[in-house]
Amino acid sequence: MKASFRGFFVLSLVGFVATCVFGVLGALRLLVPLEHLEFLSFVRLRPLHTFLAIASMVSGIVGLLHLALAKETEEGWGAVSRIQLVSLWGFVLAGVGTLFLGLGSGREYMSWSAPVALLLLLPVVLGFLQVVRNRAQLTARSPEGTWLLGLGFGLLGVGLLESYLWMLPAVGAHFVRDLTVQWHGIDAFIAGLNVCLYGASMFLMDKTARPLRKQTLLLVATFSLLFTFGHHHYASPQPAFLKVFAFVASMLAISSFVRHSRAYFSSRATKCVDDNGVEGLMRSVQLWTIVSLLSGILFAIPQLNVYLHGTHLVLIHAMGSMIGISLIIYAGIFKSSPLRLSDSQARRVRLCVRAINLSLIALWIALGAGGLYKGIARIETDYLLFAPKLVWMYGAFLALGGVLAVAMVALSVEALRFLKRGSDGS
Amino acid sequence: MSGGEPLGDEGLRLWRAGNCVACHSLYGLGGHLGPDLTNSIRRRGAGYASFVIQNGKGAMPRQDLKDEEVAALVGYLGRVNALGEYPLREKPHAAFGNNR
Repeated sequence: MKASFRGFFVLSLVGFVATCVFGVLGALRLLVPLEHLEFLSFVRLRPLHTFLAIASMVSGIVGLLHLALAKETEEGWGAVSRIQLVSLWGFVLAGVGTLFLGLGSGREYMSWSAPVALLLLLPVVLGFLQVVRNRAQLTARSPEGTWLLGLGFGLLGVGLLESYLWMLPAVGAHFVRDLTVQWHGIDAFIAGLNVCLYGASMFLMDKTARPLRKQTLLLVATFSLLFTFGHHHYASPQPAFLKVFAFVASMLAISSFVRHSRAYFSSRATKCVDDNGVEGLMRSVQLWTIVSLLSGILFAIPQLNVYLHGTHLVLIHAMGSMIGISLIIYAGIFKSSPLRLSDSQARRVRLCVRAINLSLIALWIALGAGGLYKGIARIETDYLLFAPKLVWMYGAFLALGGVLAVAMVALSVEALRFLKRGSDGS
Repeated sequence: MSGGEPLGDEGLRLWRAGNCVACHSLYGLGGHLGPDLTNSIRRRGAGYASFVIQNGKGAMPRQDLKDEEVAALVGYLGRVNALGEYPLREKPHAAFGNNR
């Protein structure tokens, strides 16, 4: 097994396990005061949870890129991959350390400080350059996958840079400018994660290259993702034609993924062997992609957005989307070696994936109901009156989130064991 | 939101240093554990906000801040409040929202 992607996958899996631990502790803090454990306050746990989730996804994405590069160019463990891996480990360790010390940015999602952000920017920029440099070889395998990987790394870089424009006094001390840039930075960065993962998935599924879509469509998508709020901000005062473009653009990667996964599933329909667990994982990715697509369309309707924006319903939309598509990283891991999963391993992987899907569905129902209630109640009545009626939701969040976390940890352990087997065998 | 006057540095600094965004949102951006604070000053008044910051309430722990720091934080929330309303009470009529 090529060590260049193994290191990124290990970091990603360790990060996902830590994400789950901090997530469960955070959910526990919602119900139990634990005032004597000040160092585990919710204010500290939540940014740690989101930080580690983001770090794990980026590391997994870089690993998937190296997996594609290793297969196409026989590129091994070079200086660039070493720099990327060291930088990502530095990002994780420095981020966790500074957040524990209360030295974060105090901002949503991009909770780490600016110097720490440089450790994330470096592997992202190098990833973009790697896609550009190897575009010919990658395009021969999957034109659309290459295009999406390039766009995705570009969006990650742009989103990251935008998220620190608040350090300029002209932005940071001006609430409307800061909020506008902050929304866009988060949108661009999250879009970058999704687009990269969908792009990388095409290298896992495609046996033969599928033709690229029309360049005009891709250019419109790029323009829209760079200069609008995608499907996230329909109350913004941008011209309607930009919003229509943005809506189409923000769904392009999703529709590309569905197009490729449908071809992959139909090509496998006649075969009886499991693709080392990849097919099951990709079916789950497709399920959560479709759920995200449909809920994204629904929530983007302004008349509904007024009620639903800023509620737990949007939270589970984001959770379902991010957790669902991060399974692409696990598919990449199981596809990264010629080794086969044993029958018992394959059974455990299927069980984990089923538990992830079921707990996410249950969370969708619980947080969906709670979010809808909150969205209506916050307009009709007062926070102090409706908030006590939502305590049950935090109980459901802890129970179902706990099942989800256990399943994610178990799947990560299986993937780590698979990587170790591959490493021992190489 | 109607505009964007520059906001006082100290209240903003305290908002970020306290990582208030972990539990509270402004214009829907932030955590959902506590209430959105965009119009908290208009709805409850500065006195109530000061009291909750200094004494805590429910899941909100008391904040170890000096009186002038509490005043700066409440001042920041007051300036955010003056910029607009969230959540909107009025539903947009156009398919993709009202353009201004």
